[in-house]
Amino acid sequence: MRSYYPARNQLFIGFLLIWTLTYFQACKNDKIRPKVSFYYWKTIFKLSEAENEALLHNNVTKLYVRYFDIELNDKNEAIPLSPIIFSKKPEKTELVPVVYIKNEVWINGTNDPENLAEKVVKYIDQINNKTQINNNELQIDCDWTLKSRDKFMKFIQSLKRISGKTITTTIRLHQIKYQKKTGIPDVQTATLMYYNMGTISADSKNSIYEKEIANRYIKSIYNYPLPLKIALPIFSWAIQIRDRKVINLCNKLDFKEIAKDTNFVYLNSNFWRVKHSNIKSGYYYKADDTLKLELIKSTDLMEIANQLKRELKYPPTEIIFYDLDDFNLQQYDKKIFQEVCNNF
Amino acid sequence: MTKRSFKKYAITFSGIIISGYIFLYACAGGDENWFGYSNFTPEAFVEKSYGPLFFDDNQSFYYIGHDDNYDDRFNKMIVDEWFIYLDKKISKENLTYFLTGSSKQDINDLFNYAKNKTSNKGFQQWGKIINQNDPKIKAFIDFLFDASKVNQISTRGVDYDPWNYDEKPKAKKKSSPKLFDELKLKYKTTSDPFLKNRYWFQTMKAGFYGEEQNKAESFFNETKGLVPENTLFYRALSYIAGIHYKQKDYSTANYIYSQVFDNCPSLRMVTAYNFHPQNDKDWNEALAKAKSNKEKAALWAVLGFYADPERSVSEIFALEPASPHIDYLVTRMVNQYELKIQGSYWEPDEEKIESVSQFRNSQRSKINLGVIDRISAMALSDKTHNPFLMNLAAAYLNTLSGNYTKANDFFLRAKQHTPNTRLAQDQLRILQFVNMLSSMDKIDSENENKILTDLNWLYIQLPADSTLDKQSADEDQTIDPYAEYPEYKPFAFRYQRDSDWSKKYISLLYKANGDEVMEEFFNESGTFYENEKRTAKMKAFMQKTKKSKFEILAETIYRIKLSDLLEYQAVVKTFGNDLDGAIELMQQAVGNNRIELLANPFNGKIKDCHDCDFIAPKKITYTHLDLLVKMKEMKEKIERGDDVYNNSLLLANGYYNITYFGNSRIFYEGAIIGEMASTPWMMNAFFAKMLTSCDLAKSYYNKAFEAASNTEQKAKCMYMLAKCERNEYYNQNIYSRPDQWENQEKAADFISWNTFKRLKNEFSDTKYYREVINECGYFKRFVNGRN
Repeated sequence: MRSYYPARNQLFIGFLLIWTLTYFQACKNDKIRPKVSFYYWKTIFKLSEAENEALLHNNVTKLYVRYFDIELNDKNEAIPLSPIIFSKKPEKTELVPVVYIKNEVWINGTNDPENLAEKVVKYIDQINNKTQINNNELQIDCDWTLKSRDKFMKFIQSLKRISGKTITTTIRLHQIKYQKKTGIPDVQTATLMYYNMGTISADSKNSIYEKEIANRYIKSIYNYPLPLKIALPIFSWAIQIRDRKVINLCNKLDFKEIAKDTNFVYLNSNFWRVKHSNIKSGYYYKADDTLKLELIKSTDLMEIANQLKRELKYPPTEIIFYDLDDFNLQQYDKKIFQEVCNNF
Repeated sequence: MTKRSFKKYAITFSGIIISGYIFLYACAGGDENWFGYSNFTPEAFVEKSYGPLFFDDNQSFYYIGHDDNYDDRFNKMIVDEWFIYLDKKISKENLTYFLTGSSKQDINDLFNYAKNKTSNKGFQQWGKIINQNDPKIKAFIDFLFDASKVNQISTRGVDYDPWNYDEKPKAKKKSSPKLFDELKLKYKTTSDPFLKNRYWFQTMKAGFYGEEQNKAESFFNETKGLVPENTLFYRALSYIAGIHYKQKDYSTANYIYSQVFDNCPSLRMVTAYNFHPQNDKDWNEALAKAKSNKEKAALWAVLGFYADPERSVSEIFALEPASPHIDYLVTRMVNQYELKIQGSYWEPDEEKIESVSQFRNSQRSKINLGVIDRISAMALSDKTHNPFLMNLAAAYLNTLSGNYTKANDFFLRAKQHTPNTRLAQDQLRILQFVNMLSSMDKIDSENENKILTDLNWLYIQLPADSTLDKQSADEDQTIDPYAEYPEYKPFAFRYQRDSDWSKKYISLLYKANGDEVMEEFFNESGTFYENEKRTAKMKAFMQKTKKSKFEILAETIYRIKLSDLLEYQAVVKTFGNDLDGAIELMQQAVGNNRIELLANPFNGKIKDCHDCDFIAPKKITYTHLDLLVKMKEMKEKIERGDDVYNNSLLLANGYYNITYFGNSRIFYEGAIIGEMASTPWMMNAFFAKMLTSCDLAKSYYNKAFEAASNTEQKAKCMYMLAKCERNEYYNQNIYSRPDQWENQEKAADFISWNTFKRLKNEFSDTKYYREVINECGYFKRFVNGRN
């Protein structure tokens, strides 16, 4: 099988050799546990008390903050969307800006990757200057595909050169399994998003994490040439189903509340039925609708850690939980993040 | 070598981002079948301002998707109103510039000139065009000057740079209290009612977009009785709703939005978008705020857009039966039912429909019979705003649940109220037809005659009209189908579902009669021609000279024509090595037999590169028929012992190139086998077996090998045989496996095929061998001991 980037692969191998040697040198003395990190994915940066406490309690030194998204406008030009507003400057924790780029930007967009990289770097500088933040790393989140691969890879290279910062990317399981086709970005580390595995559907499968689906991909992880950090889900949502069709995705629906509400009847497993039509948390539930709760239990997180550690060539240096948020934190015991990391 | 569609692997993992409120899309297919599940055209019944709120399973707003004209929704109205006020002294074009364009500098210049009479650039440009001594025009310039200050805080401006963080939408400049007070004073001191009204609105706007929202609300409450209840009034009222929404006072916000929805058609879409109850409590509080049944009905009317049109229709009917809001909700309700039952028409989720009775039961089970009773009662009450719609909805729902006689009664009632538009008349006709056909238990010549006229209308006339309508709309640039509201053009008429459904239904009736040909005409099965007897029946039907009108129509709507059938039979004969039979059939396949091949079909290259063969210069271009004639000529020469090596090799190439692996796939890609089958996985198994087999090619390559006079020739034959062996390997290990795409990851690209071994062991001293090594990576790796 041919590689699309032979020259770069050699570079990777070189890099890997050095990295591996260094890494195992360190491992000889003490087993390194991955650090706890979080993604922060809101448009206004203002940490609540519980969020601050989670950072302190878990000795979090790095917080991955969504700075903005990039989408296309009606002229197919790439533009930043919902840029972050810092209502409060973060203390101590190092911020890593994350930019989410829609794949369509590469497929239908008119911007050339080099030009877009320049704009992104300038825009991040503007945000940083305004809040007097410094950062050394920048993460790009994009579900690039075969069609967008070349432009995306060029963009990453340009970004590296123009920003002078460490560039990292997120990576999906399919990009790992089909790495020869989708390519490997020219970065030092990538963060494997170990969630959103299936389709949002009315069946009994969990779209956030499903062991069976994970198993189809997991064997490829070992051969991926980049060191991986792992992003794990701590979010939940409810899928509203009517006439066997999914009609809504209801975020942050508190199922403890649903359990108390006589408008809903528990069916089985993760399913609830709407008994009387009602409005709750901004959603309209019609009598006979079904609600499917999708969440990741603490035991699931531990299981994922167990499952993944067997497949990773190198233990990850960080586990990044998605996402830091009061509602999500409430669903777990405070110790869980550390425990998951210890399980790697 | 193997073509693999990456799409097959691409299990989608969404981005990290999870938005707060996601509309999930059902699979809707292409634009052509936008409402392929629907017979019920809302445009036939409902007033235009509700257009974006019609049911759309694919996006939030019908036809337009999302509301993207926040900045310019009222521009035309504003220009028109000023045009009249200024006694047409400034052209609409110039007014558009001043009121909506990048005119800030010119406005400043004109304002300054009026103040100190010093000429400036703006005055030089406009001084002669507009007369500032005219008191109304002077007042206009003054107003523009003030309004432009408000615009600075309310819009991003035309030269907004998205890549400048300082200009991000949420970082708008805030108004100073001074501006609000200035405008308020202008409102108070202006006596001209037109201008006074506009200063009133500008004051509200400055208050809303600035930091004076409390002041704005107080001002509104003080003055609301003094201003006319026009669009400006309701725009300002929407600001008040927005202020309450921001304060999380949802009950007030939603109550106000519903009132704007009720009274201001041009803001219906905006208010429906902004209306958003959070829970039962604030919803009930909003209802309690309503001062009359009309106001309560308005709240249910907006809620019905998000929530449950059935419930809203019932609630509104109880409160105010003649409310026009019921209309759009009834169309939403019927359209939602249509979507729900579409499974019974064709591809049902779980069941395969084999008979009309099964179809009826399946459809009936998906309709809430209580709703039919309620809608029927409303229609019979004669109290509703739109009796045509209510009676037609009742009729249609009765049809869907199998009450055909009852449905007829409602059709008769609806008929008396039919609006004088083609759309309404067509709507009535199509639903009556659906009822008639749905009630048919069998098909015979009597029933054929009953439906013949309607079927001609449905299958022939409507598509032709719709094409013409589309063309005229395209030519007439004033008709913008993506304008603010969906245009009420005849092509909005939803007949496509009925066209598809009636074919399936009629096909089921013929199936019950055991008439395979007519069944196929109305519902192409895709497997019909796998059976020779059936093929012969179809051919006999197509060739008979005396046909009934109904049979003619059935054959007309059938995609496959006689020449396609003959061409297909010729292809089958070719693959059966019966070239005489193939030629005879192909000669009769008039039209199709002249289709040209894209490459030289007798090429035998090391690499199977179709595109390379397509662009390579060709001395002769072969048609389907030419190919067969030439192949026959070669075959005869072989049989005669005439240049057996060359003729066998060329004939083998010919046979190779008409398979899936060769450069002349076009030979078999007729109407029956189709050209969509870009990989064998996508072909039906019957065709795939025939088209992926290289057996015939192989037999002639072997013949050529035997007749070869030197090792170069033998080496070539051996490599060609290797290609055949490779294809067989792919057929067995990839293309014929049920776990296809997973499997292709596991199956090796190549293995040590016998022919590879022989080529290496017996012909490594030939020139051709070296050519193969240069061009075929697999062979090179095999020779080097890697795979």
